[in-house]
Amino acid sequence: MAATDRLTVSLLFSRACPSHEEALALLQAAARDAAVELDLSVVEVVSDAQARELGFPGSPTYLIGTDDPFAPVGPDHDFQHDACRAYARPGGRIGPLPHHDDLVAALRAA
Amino acid sequence: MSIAIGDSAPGFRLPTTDGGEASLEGLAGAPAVVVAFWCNHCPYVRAWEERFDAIAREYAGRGVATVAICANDAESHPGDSFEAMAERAAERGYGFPYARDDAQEVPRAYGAERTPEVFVLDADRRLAYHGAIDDSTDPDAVTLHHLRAALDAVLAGERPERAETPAVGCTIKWRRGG
Repeated sequence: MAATDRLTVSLLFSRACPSHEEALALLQAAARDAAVELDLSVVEVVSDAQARELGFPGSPTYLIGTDDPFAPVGPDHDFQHDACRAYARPGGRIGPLPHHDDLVAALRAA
Repeated sequence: MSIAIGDSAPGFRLPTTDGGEASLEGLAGAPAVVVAFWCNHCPYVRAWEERFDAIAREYAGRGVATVAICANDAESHPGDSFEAMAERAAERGYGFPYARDDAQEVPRAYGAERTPEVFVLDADRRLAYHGAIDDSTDPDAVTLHHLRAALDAVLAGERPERAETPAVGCTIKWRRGG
C-alpha cells in the first residue's frame, strides 16, 4: 500500500472502559507503522440502543471502513454501551486492546 | 467513595462456587486478607487472572487469605452468573474462593467500582491497600507490583508505601435501576 493511501477508520469507545485513550494512541502508532493515513472518526457509545444500532461488541472497537478486523473473543452479553472488549493477544493471552502488530496487519490488509 | 485507608473493612458472608461460603469472620487468624472484586467477562480481569491467582497461591503459604467477589448483574451479563462463575473457577483452577454477591451489597459497602479492584486488609481487618494488582495489563510490562508490595508490607507489620492506586478495569455492572 502506498504511503499516500487513506483509510476510513472509526474508533468506537465507551468511557466505562479505561482503554479509550490508549486505543487511540495505539491506532495512530499502528497507522504510522503501516504507512497509511487515516480518515478517522471517534464515536462515543453512550446508550444500549446506540450499541445495538452499531453492533458494538465492546470498547474499544476499530472499524476499517465498515469491517471489524478482529475476531470476537467470547462476548457473553448483548450489545451494551458499557461493555469492554476482549482481544486475543500473543501467547494465548487476553487483553483489553489488540496487539500493535495485529492492528498494523489489519491496516495493511485493508 | 471507597472505604478509607485505616478504616475497618465491612464484613460479608457469601456463597462460593465450591459450594461453601466466604466471610471475613471465617478468615480469623489470617495476617492479611485480600478482597478482590472480580468477574468472568471483563478483559481486564482476564488479563490479570493468571498473575492474581499466582499471588493468591504464593501468599497463602504465608497465611494470607484471598477471596474474589463477583457482584455483576447476571441478568445483563449472564457470563457472570453463579453457574458461569463455577465453570470459570473450575476451568482455571482458581486457588482462591470465588464468591457471588447477588445483592451487590459488598462492593457498595467497600466503594468498589471496577473489576478487578483489590482491597488488602491487615490483621485487624483495617484497609491497608486499595487499587490495582500491578501497573500493567501486559505481564511483560509490569514495573510496579502493587499488591505484592502491599502484602509484603502488611506481613512485615508496616504500612504499604503506596496505599492507593487507581483500579483499572471494567465498571461493576449494577442492576439497572438499582
